[in-house]
Amino acid sequence: MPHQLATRLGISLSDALTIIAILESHGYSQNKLLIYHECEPEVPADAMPYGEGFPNLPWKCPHCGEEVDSYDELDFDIMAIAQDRIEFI
Amino acid sequence: MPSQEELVNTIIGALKDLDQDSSESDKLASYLYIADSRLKDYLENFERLLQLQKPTRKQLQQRGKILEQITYLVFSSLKGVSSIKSFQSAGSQYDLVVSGDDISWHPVCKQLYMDISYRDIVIEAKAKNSKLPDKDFARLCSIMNENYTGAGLGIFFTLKGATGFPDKKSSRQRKISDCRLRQALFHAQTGKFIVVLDKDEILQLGKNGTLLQILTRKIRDLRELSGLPTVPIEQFKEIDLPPHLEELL
Repeated sequence: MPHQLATRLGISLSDALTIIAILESHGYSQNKLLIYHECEPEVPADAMPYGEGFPNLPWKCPHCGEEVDSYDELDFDIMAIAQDRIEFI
Repeated sequence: MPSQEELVNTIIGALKDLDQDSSESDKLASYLYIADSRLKDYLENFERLLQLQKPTRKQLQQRGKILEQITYLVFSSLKGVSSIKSFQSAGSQYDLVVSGDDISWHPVCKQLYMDISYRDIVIEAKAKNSKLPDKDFARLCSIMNENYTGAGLGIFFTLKGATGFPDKKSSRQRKISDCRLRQALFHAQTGKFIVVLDKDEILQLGKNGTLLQILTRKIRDLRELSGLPTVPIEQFKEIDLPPHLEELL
């Protein structure tokens, strides 16, 4: 995820996300948008395809079943799953 | 974990370094359009009014008003908009003029191929039951060239598109005429874009991520003049190949 890459490489979050976006477009990773609900803030409640915007509301939380109608109750992150090992030189 | 606002700010930072023609910028830009929650109801009402066989005068007026309301909600859902106006100026009535002044508007401008010096968008809503005629297109060209010179992009929200534009059912166009010709000439003369959305495309705008995707496809098509109608949003990939290459997919 961007914050993990940013920490490891000592770069900004935006630069980390740029790298993740480029890796995905070149086929080196598969990305997803992770959705977190306040019912369990540390565990992703769902993942949706990357590059299709945020989930439309109302959104139903798979963990607690609540129908969420405000983005204030949700957090998001972008996850990149590398197809192979990637070395940053 | 980042809130939506925090992630969008990170995305804005990332977009600065990406080429607006790249697929990576297209995917990140999808997060800059977060449809207003009220849009769904307005679009449903709009669709209901469109299906009336013989609308009354009052229903036609209501349809026009709802289209303007949809236009407002769509553009107020775009990240970075700080100014949104609709007014009668000394010269012309502007349906809607949107702009942004802060850093979050820059990637929107970039994605829409607008020079930051011409960072306003002028939108006209036309709820007529016929294709937009050339005189209306010419009027917007004139407004953008002489009155509202700060605008880099003009957008028509219509029911049936504009004259000269490719139809979904027709074969590939090999010549251009009417509004399509004026669109190409205006762009060649000024570098500015004017694009046209029809009702099917407007009805897609209730979903997050769709607005910039539709607009960039239309802007890029003006540069390419493929002769085909804009690829719908549901079609994730834009594939335009002759049969002997298409069979390789």
